Amino acid sequence: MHEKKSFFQLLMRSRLTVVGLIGVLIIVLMGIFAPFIAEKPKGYGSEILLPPSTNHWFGTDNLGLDIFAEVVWGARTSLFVSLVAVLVAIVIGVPAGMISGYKKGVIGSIIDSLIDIFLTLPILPLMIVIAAVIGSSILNVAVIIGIFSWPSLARVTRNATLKISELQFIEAAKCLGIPTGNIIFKHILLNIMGPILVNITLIMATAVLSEAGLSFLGLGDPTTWSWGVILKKAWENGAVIDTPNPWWWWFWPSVFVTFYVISFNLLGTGINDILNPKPND
Amino acid sequence: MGRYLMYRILKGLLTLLVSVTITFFILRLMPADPVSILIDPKMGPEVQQAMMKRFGLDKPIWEQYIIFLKGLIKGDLGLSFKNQRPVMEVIMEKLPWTLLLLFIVNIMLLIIGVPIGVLAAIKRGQLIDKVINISVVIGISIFVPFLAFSFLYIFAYYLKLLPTGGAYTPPPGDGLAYYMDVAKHAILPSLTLLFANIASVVLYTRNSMIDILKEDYIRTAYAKGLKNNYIIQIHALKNAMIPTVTVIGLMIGSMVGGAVMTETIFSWPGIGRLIYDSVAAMDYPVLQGAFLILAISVILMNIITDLIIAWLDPRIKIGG
Amino acid sequence: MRTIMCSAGCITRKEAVVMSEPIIEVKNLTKYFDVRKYLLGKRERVHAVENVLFELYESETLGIVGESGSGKSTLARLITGLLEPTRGKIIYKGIDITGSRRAYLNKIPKLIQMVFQDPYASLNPRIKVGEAIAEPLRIHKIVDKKEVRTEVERLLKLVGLQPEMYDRFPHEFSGGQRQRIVIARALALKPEVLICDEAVSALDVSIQAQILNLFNQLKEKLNLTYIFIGHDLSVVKYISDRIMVMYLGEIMEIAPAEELFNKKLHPYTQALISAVPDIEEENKRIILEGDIPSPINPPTGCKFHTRCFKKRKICEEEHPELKEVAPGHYVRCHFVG
Repeated sequence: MHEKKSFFQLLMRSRLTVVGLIGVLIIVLMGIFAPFIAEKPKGYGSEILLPPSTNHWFGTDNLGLDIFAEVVWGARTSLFVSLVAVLVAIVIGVPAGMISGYKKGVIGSIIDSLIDIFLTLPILPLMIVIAAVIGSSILNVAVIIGIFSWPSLARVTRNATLKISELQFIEAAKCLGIPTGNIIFKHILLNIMGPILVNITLIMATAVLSEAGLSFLGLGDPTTWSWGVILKKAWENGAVIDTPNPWWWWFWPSVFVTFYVISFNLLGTGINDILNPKPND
Repeated sequence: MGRYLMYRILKGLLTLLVSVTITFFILRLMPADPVSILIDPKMGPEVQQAMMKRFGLDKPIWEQYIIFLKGLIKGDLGLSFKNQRPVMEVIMEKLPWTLLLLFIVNIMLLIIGVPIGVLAAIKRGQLIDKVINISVVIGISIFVPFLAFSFLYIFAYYLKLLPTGGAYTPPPGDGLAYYMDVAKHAILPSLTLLFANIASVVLYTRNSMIDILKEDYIRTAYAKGLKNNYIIQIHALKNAMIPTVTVIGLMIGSMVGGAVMTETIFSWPGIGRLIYDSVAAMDYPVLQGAFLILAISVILMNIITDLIIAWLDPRIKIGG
Repeated sequence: MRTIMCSAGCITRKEAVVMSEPIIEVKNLTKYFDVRKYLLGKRERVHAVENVLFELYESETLGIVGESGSGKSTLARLITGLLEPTRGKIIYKGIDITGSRRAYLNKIPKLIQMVFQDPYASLNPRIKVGEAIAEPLRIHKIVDKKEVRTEVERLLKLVGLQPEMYDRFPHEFSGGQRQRIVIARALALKPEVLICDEAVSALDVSIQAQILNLFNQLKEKLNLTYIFIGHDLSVVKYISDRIMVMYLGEIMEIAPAEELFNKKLHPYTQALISAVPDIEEENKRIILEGDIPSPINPPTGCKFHTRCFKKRKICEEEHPELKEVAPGHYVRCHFVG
């Protein structure tokens, strides 16, 4: 008999998952405590395009603003956007997936086809069109990303629901006259939290990629610091190919986008490996 | 097979209709409506009326939708707000460039991504597999502009080997010199998109190869004493290609998203760059048209990959 | 003929059955499933249960046997209302409770409860066992809110478990204990009929006996009526008053348990009984050839003819009726009666 280990202990077993968890923690702390870490960058500074130094860890931009501060405040935006996006995706995706997985008839097929359609479409261009039209406040962008993140969550939820609703305890619940609502949102939901959690972690990652992409293409909120906004400014001002080259301007925000995404992806993969152990892999 | 093809085309058309409808209504119902953008308050009322009429904005929304659909079937996507040229014409100038880029990238994905995935599967658990696995996690997480900037910095700024942008050096030359010039310009955008998408191809090929190597007929082949390479090539690869082709089909949608950013950064004159320019100019008809053309391309490519899969996988042929 | 020479024991059994009232009448119950192999594919019809007609008497135990695919589980799900029949009626104490009519009949359907085959799958792994039993109590307001916990503890004791087990999760229990929990949960609604669908098949032999004894004790204590479904004839014989033999969705034979075993009229019954290992029987084992045919295209004539060792031409052409060969003993075979 082996000792039953807690979920957290299992998480700690994989080094890559620990790396992911630490990465997520760093970003979360950066986002929450941004005002205590660095002053919100605004206005103009006198030290223009300085390379990284002890004063300015990540250097300064063409307005003399501290890029480290911009990156720290960008973490806050990224977290906000991905959390709102995940929330929207959960509100739409989880019920849609559960209903389509549980009710196999016409409603199920309609929702499933919708999921299929949205998964096929080139989402970034569609988000661009919508963001361009409704205006790109940070909340709008977050909601748009959320609206287009629901299909993958719904698909995952649907597949998990299909599997669970075949199990005997669902039949037993029906036999005991448990109302459908209780069956779906208690008996099934309790058993599909795992895959949903994994997918949420992955949506956190892709949401930031989308936000950075939209901001980079000029559809972000110019009044809020986000990694994509910094990159857009750097690129528009020729930071990548100008001589002399202020590489730090585009390098650090890019690193943080990637760091954020890798951390959440690693965490998601780690959770997934615990929930679906592959003995031969 | 006939039934299957019909089902796929039907689904494609449905997907298309959904995209058309979404874009149409979003563009018409949102706060920043086209009328206010198009019409300068300084214009006289007659001019305003004429403008409205010209763009069909004086009719009720449902009528506009029907007119739009009818036009769409004839290939009419309306007029660009920016220069009042037909949207279709603008897009058709740009589309070949995007298709060229996507074509190069997909070919490279197959000839580079699949062997790496197979290698990882054969050397499963060994150092090289672990290195590939970690690279895959980084690969699926990477932000496309980061890749593009890094390549630009290294090859264009630092080594000065390759051009920083565009598809050719203006004015365009003739014959071989022109093609060589385009090829040179295409290297960095293609590399960017290749790196952005290769991880998924490697991952899927690896995982499906691992599953297939476990299957009975492969073991039988081993038992028969067939040579390692032979077994892998003949028996496994064809089957491993099915999920790989599937994933490439599924990836085309997101690949197009990456292409928008790549084209923007490298000033590649395709649909992606057109989208970027139209965002800045608030040229909604072009945005809408560009999205629709991309959607159609993605749907078509999906149907094609499905047919390739049906051809690779005998079970679907019998079933469908 | 042997039918006439019925033993004295057989008659007492029959009397016991005849004396009580039918609690459930199943009338020409039929269930077809339409399936498609793939999307837009051709529709195919599975004949799961066909024209099943029988009565369940109060306080009896009716055993149902048959191979997998014989439609016995579908029949159980039709009676509990988990599935709607294609045709036919289910009458509960004179009230029609068929299909969607159940929705209008508060409580009555809940009086027919079910115990499932797999004790590992029939409890929600994320819900404490006490809560699992409490849920139907709360939803159907069987007891006052404040008394739910006491009631659950009483039920746990009733099935031979400790009341302290309330706050434990299913994975902490063995198969036999879980089956007791499932039984307690089914009893929460104070049912009159309990359908046991292969309820002991998944358990070890020693545990099987314990659970079977529990069923017998509960029956006496609570005056329950059972439908006991199984494929192991020795188990079904042990617990049943009457036995019904099913094949491809049809009743092949139904008779008091002793009589069924003594007379073995239907060839399929003979084959099933001969396969029971520990019945002192000098007869040779009858081995049926092949598998049970697909219920999608069931054989014409007698459904059993493809595997029957007594098959003649008529079996392929004519569908035999269910004939009463002795009081309470029905057989579907051209060569009986």
